[in-house]
Amino acid sequence: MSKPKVKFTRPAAPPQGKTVPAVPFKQKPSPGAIKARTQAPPAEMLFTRNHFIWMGVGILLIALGLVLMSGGNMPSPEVWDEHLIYSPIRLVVAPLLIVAGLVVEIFAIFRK
Amino acid sequence: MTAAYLEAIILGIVQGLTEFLPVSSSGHLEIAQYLLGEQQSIQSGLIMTITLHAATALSTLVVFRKEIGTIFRGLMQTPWQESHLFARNIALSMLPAVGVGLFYEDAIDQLFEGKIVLVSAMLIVTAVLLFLADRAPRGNRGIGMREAILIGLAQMVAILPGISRSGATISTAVMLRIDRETAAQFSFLMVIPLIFGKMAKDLLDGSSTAVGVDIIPLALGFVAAFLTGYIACAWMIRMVQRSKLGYFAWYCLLVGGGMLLFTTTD
Repeated sequence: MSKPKVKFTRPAAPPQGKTVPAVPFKQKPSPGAIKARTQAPPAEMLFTRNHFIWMGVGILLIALGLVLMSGGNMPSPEVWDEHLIYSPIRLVVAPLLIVAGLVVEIFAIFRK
Repeated sequence: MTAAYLEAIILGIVQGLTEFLPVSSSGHLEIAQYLLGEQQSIQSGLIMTITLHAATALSTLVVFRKEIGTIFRGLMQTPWQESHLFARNIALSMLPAVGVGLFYEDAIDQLFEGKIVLVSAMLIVTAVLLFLADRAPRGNRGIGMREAILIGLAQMVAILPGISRSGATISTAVMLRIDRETAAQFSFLMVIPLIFGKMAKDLLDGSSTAVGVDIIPLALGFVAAFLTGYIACAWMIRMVQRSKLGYFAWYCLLVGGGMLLFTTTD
């Protein structure tokens, strides 16, 4: 990789009879300084890999809850089975899993 | 991309914007239903509503991650300090809305049945509140018990369709000479326990089902609401700090006034 070119200019001469504040000539920056300038420190990420793993666990729990909550259709219009609609898995387990998933998401956000 | 996916993304964006910007999401929903003449085209089911609210609540948690973390760490310590007082104020501010929500649920539901004149009038009230807040002198007061209860009462009134919750609570706080940044933070933080409480109630009382629900639209709606909510929340805090609520006031005035004219001449 070639070194970045740095253009150096001499400031224009001050008009006669006027004083201007002293401006030092630009010094040629050292190679180390150029490297430090081009390799700025990376921006701090809001979340780390660990956070995303916990978020993934939360999403999985919520998705599992939704899958368990789905269904409940009767196989045909002539059939009426209460257990299909009011099953404990759909009414108790699935909502609890979704709430647990949300709790895990909140934990993931606040985890250090 | 099917229409269902597109609808989910649009719903997510609308929820993300209207949760934080002071323009009343419920008012816009009522107006859209009135103009479209279809109830089902807008309401996409309880499980989608829960998903979108979860997304905006989580985006609020991300925006205020440090502040909430500090509050929770403070709550673990003794003796009582600022964090305890803040938590007490949040709890106090929730009481009016919780009371009305629990005891007058049926009466509230009746307000959401095509009462377009009421919605339009309340949008104009929102505009007036925002105009007043925009012109209120800057204050530097904190939030005490009295202020928390008054802001909570504003949140209770905002149950009416057409009154913006964030607009009503931030305006009340600003007019009480509370520091603008604190006002915006308190407004967004005070609703988080209410949203999660309502979501847990809706999920656990067995009223929500996922019959015929496709997970992909839910996921798309969630992502859209989360990202839009994150941006809108941070944007709204800056708008409150810079006293730029007037734009939203004009918007609410135009929509509310326009709908009043439309319905009376219809």
